[in-house]
Amino acid sequence: MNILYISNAYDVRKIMILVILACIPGLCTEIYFFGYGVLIQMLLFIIISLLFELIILKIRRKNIKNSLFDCSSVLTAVLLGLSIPFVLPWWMIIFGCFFSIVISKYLYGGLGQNIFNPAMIAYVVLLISFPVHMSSWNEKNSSLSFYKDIKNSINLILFHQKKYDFKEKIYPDSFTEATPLDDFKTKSHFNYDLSQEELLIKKKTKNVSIAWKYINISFLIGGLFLLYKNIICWRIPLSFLSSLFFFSSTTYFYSQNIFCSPLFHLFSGGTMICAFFIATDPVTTSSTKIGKIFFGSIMGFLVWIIRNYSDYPDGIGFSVLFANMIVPLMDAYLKTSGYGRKNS
Amino acid sequence: MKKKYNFKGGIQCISIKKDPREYFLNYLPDPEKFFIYIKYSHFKKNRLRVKVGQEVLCGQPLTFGDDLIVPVHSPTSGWIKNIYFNPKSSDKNQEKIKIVILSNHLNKWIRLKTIKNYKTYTPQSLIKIIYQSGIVGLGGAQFPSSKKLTLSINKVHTLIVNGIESEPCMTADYCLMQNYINEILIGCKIVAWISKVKDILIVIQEDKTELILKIQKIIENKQLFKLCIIRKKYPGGSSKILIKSLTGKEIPYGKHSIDMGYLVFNVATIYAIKRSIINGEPLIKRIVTLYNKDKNILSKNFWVKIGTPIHFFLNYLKIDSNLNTLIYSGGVFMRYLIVNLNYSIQKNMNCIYVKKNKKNKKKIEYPCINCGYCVHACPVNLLPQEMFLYCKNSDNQKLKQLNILDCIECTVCEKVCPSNIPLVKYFRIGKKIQKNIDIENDRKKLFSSLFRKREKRLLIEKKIFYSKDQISNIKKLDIFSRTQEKEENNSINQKIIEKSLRKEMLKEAIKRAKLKR
Ligand code: SF4
Ligand code: SF4
Repeated sequence: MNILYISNAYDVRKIMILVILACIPGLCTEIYFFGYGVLIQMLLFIIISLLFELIILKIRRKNIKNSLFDCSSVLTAVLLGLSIPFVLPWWMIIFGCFFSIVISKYLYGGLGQNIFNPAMIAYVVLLISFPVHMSSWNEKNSSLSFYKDIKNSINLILFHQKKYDFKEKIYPDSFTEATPLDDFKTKSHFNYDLSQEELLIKKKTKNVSIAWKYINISFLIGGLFLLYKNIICWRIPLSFLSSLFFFSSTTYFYSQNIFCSPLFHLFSGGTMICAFFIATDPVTTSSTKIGKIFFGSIMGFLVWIIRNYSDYPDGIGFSVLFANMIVPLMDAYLKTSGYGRKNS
Repeated sequence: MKKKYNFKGGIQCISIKKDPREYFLNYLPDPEKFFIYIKYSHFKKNRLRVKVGQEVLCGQPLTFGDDLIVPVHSPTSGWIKNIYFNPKSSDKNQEKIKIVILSNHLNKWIRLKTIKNYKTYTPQSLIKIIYQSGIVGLGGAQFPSSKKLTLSINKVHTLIVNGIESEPCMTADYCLMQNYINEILIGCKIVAWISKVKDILIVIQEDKTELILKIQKIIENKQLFKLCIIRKKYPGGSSKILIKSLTGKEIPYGKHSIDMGYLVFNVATIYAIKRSIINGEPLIKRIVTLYNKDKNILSKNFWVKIGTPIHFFLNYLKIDSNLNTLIYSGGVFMRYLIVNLNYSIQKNMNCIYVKKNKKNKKKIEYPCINCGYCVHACPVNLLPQEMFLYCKNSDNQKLKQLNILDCIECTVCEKVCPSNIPLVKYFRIGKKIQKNIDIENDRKKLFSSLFRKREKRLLIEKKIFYSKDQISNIKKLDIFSRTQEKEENNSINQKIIEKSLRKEMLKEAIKRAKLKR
């Protein structure tokens, strides 16, 4: 490409690397709040998924050098690692990688051919098969923190050994600390009074919710960097966030007890990482302009529905997959093509 | 600052640094031999006006034109060395006749007929002069200007003077406007007088600030002229896109800009029209930009005579043309590789692009990741990534639905694509297939209509035949009861029908013969 004359010229590999770079602020805040386990898990994800890709490329006799270094599977692994809680044992990581790389990417025909977002496929599969593990987010400063140093977290991930500090009292909720979204859900289902113990838990969840807020803000910064670099199109994040904001604000206006506030929706769970990193994955979205706006707004609506009415705390994975399913339909019917065809 | 017009899609180019070399015009000396290539769709030998060995003068017409092709003129004085015919080649784009002229370096002109006051002539006669001078669109389309003008009389209200060079390395038109702006304005007036235009829009790109100021000063008191400034973007120069960015309307499919009331002319064409009418010169030279990528210093503009061989051009400037250099005609975006260095400068060639062949730097071609960059960049609202998919699978019906024939082959999508897919290569093949399919369909329609006509004719003949039989039967049965008048009537009717039938048959035969050719 002639860089002299064309202002923005990208390569597939360059795009992938820039997206990975944009993930770094989010990664740093996650490390700050959840400990070094995040980093180790991420490295494991990357290494295992690259290994899987290597094996598959060997089997299919493709050009290993080109396909392996286009960094697309690294990006998938990073995104998967960022959207998953950090206590997963190693075999679960391999399971997730298998689903994301082998089944949802290479069985469909490699880069550019898959209909579903590979990271989200793995996320959903893990969520369905191991719901308890997948909904427990442990914080670094909580009473049972075994991730303070690197050694413990390696022990935990690889050998699944937990060294408990038995001096402290174990609360029933300590193993599986719920995300704020989870917490909100249980509260809205059973209206119960707060006892002494529960007050303590509530304090903790408040901590967690603050952590989520910061994580979302850092992903927002990364996403803005991508927008500035002109790598992703503004249509998907904007339509997604605005439709989510619209639905949640109307219902919040209707009843403040049952539904939570729009700002809470925007800055909790995986909203921002979904809006800027996962939903904008080029392969699985519609490529037309109207299609992109449709895609985003459908996703916002689905996220809102799943968060409020289903049994799963966060609906990002399901809504992304569902919107991916609609993409071929949108591509077939939302076409405006040709010059001067409107008048004739 | 005035309003800047813009259009959707396209790529922004970094504007070229201001360099005094850009608007110096150099002359190229005459080479020893000129090669003139003439394209003829239906080759006829009696279209040639000269013979081998004949002496010609500068500006002497070499051929008679026909209604598709304008006459071609000799660029130099000398004698004709050889004429090659190549009528067998099936490729329609290839030239059929090659004339070699040996120059005697005297540059003797034929007598030129100058016109001082063009308003005393009728538009038709002026158009005839333009036709005789062999002027075609110099922007690259090579459409005869005289035809455009005849179509445009009393139909258009605005003349658009296209001074845009969207290719970032081309400066030929800019150079022309810098040096000959007064003559161009006279040319505009001539065209305005011919086709009765009310407004003249001169369109320039935003980065040519000096020129804009200059033109603004000249135009100030004149009501007819207006200056429009357009963003520096590729491809702004194509007439379809130019009209869309100026007016916001799209030309309906299958129509021309004249149908909307806009007449678009390139600056160089207007200059040539002025020269042909006021000075009587035929079109024998044009400005060509030479762009040498590795040594940017050499980028200059030259007056080059049409028919100058490219190897002479390169040799004169001491550019070695060995296997390591690639020579293209066209700019950075739209370009064709010149394989034969004996090929000469044509009327539509406005830039020659020289580039070193680097073998070690190879681009990796990734699969299409459906990123949609190409969709956003395409200036005519196509979906290149889907077209690519269907081209690969050769799904012709889907390609037709995507309007692949609207593609102007601007290669913007290819440059933007992060996967380095040579998209336009596929599109060219796809377009060729589409055109063939269209031609086939037309043929089929025509033949089926012919077949139906034949059936009808046979039916009528049968009827006539049976009616004849009946008549004879009736005759046999009762000869006396029938009067003679009725018989006569019948026979006259029959004759008329047969006549019309014969006429129809003749017409169809002519049509078939045309198609077979
Ligand atoms: S080459 Fe054709 S498809 Fe590609 S950008 Fe240009 S007009 Fe659009
Ligand atoms: S720019 Fe290239 S990779 Fe992107 S959608 Fe178009 S063809 Fe595919």
